[in-house]
Amino acid sequence: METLKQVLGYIGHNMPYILGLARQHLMLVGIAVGLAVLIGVPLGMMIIRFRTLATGVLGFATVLLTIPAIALFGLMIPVFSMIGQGIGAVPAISAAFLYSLLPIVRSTYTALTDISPGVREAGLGIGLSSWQRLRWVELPLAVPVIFSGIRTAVILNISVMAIASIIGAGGLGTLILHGISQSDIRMLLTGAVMVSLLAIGMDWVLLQLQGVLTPKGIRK
Amino acid sequence: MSTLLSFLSTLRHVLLAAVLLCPAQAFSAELVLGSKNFTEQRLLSPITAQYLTHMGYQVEQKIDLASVIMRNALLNRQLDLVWEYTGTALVIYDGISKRMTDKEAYETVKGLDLPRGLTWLNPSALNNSYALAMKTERARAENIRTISDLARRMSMVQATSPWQLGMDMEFAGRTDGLVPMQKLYTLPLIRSQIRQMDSGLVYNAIRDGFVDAGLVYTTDGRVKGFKLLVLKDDLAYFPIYAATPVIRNEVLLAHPQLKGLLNTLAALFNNETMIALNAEVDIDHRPVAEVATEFLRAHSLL
Amino acid sequence: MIELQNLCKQFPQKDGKMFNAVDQVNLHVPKGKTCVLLGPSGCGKTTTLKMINRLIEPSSGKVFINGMDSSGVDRVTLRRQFGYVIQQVGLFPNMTIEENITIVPRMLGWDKKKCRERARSLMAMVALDADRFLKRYPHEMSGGQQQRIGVIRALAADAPVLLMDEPFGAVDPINREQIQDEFLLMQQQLGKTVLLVSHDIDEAIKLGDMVAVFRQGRIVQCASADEILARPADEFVASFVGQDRSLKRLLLVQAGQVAAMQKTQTATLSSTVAVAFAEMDDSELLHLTVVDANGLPLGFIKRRDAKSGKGTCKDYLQAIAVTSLEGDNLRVVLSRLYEHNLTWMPVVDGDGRYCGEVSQEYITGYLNADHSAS
Repeated sequence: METLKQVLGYIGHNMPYILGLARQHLMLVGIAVGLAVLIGVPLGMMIIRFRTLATGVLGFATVLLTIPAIALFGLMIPVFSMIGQGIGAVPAISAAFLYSLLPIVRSTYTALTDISPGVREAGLGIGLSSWQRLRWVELPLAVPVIFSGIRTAVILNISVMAIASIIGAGGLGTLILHGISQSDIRMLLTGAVMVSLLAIGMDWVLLQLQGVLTPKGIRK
Repeated sequence: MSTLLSFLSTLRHVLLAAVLLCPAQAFSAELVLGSKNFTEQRLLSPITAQYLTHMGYQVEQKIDLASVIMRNALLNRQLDLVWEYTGTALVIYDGISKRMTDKEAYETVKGLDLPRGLTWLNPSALNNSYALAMKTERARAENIRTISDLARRMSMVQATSPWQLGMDMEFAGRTDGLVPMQKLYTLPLIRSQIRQMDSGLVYNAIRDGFVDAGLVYTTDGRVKGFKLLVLKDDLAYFPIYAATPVIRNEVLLAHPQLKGLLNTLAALFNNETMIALNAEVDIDHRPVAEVATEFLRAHSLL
Repeated sequence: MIELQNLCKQFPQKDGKMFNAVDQVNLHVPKGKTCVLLGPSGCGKTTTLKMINRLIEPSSGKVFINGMDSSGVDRVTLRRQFGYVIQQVGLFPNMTIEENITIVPRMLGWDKKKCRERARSLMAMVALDADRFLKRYPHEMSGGQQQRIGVIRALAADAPVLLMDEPFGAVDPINREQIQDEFLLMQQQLGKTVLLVSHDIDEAIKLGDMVAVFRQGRIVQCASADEILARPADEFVASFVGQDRSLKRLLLVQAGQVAAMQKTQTATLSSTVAVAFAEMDDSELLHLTVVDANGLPLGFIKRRDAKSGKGTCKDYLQAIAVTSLEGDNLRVVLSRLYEHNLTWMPVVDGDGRYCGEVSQEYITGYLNADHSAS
């Protein structure tokens, strides 16, 4: 009870700071996942076209996801030091970007694979070009599944991004890190709860967005 | 169609944000100030930043960096300015294990770093060295005052109930860390007796009895706050770690006044002031920025 | 209109050998005709169809459309010359019914108003309520309704040729009959050239002007449905069309065709029975239909009554229990004869005028005569 009071007191006194960190956190995740969508969705489409690549690409993305988050962030430092960006947002975003690839590539691949053969054949047979099929039929139908991949990536990275503070990228992880090293349970709890709230909140927001973007004809 | 368009436009916004934000974070500030991942550095950062901001500079703080990461970022010109410790530079960055006086150590690192593009300004009287610490009560009871006392005591109980030592991962792994110290003091320690954890957790671990002794920083507020006893380094194992502003030559050339400003700050710090400041954060849980402001005001620098 | 020349398709098998899915297929479908590609599964009929719009590239051989070799045409352009209907329907679930129907016209750049009108007139053709359905989505329709949309989507851009791959295969039997009837009706108005893949002999009989029977990648017989039923080229065709092929032929023959084989012999109410008897005696008839001045049947007289009787036909007139229409197929007629325990019945035209009669004897005679050209 006492702890709760302390935590609430801390939050009350540091609202702008905490919100700033949350904003920074979201920004990092947003950019990373945004880039992963820009790269991952076309990549998913590409490996549909060139099936031989699928195993390799999906395998690689899976391996990326098995690297412990803290190691992946650490690995980014020497890599980006070469271009003078070893600390801060760039390596953090890059690590989260790599983490996001698998869910996004895989969901795109699955979504496009799962399109019913009838729809695919009809599209071909009535003379839609591959671009037209993608744009008018296959992508719209894939939206819900691709979006679930994006949601997974966002939620995963909201928690993973808590580590970003150790490479100087800031975010809510700062609160957790300081909480631990300064024996300050208030910061620790605030950080942890904020990360959870952020994840839950973003999941909800994305779910709404998914609803809006899903074509009416396939809404459940 | 419309859903697709809005989907694409969402992507476009994300991309736009990426393009706009990245450079903004990386390049906008005039001075980028780096700091390490423990309380004292977390205080030095806002003190320096607030002061320099007050003096008309734009300062961006990069906090919570591990020593080596911070050092690399400074050499890579991602950082302009840091507070570094003479002992750290000497032992870790340059691998020199020779025992030196404060002055020698300072002159050595200063001389080595200048051709690398880094200028060491005046060292402060703040010596944030490592030390081993125990709960005061227990140390008194067991009659332990020095590390040699500790080693002796540990040898006595090693067979029956071996003591646990808490320390951060950096010290446990460093070539100038645990291993040579163990040798010098003939500390009886096997792997299972070494508890590695975040440096800030060691204080709690000692206080709460999870470890019998642990590695602490001499300026940490929790030494006093948690009623810990710093054991005397009777064989003079630990080098001097004098906190010193280190700035890139280019930056100093562009802003020559920084030299005077940073030396002003360096002159303010000694172990007493820092222990007090650290305690405000670690014991009283006050925000670092607030403590920094108060400190600068007290010295009429704001 | 569509001509296939030595069309072949080979697929590599698991053991590395090549498998001839389609082997030297030659076929000519004239404009406005419906050709059913018939055969068991795996016989190459679907592969043949898909080589026409190049969903499958032929290994060798050529496809001519209106005399033009299609291999030089870009695939997408080629496919737009065909309406394409498949068993799984393949409506786009993300599009409304209207968007589905008008997708090809929209691709071809038709303006909105024209597209809308087109969708409405096509919906009317398959008796679906445009106001109710155009703004709906496919999942809101029954299977039969969806397949109707599938068919009119293929017709939307008025492509001259329809390729249909088991188009009614997934529809329940009751709906299938109905859609087939609607399709026949549409085809009468539109006169498309149709290639339709089916494994259902009844469907082939009902819809096909010509039927190409496939076996192991080859066409073993290509002729009218009646010809195939009457004279199957080999054992395989005979067993594929079934033991009851003669009964199936009944479907293909209309009562009018049988009636047309006879000369029209009638009496009137005022005819004397003697005259009537003479007529029956000449033609070895057992009865004679009595008609009025307009040729509408009033009844009949029996030979037995006429032989001994005096007076006019009016005196011996027997009532007619049931008649059949010219357009009724023999299967319906035969069923009616059995139903009423009759050996014969008069056939009347659309205006109710007598034009001959059908009896089991006449039917047998017709089926055994050579009419396959008709």
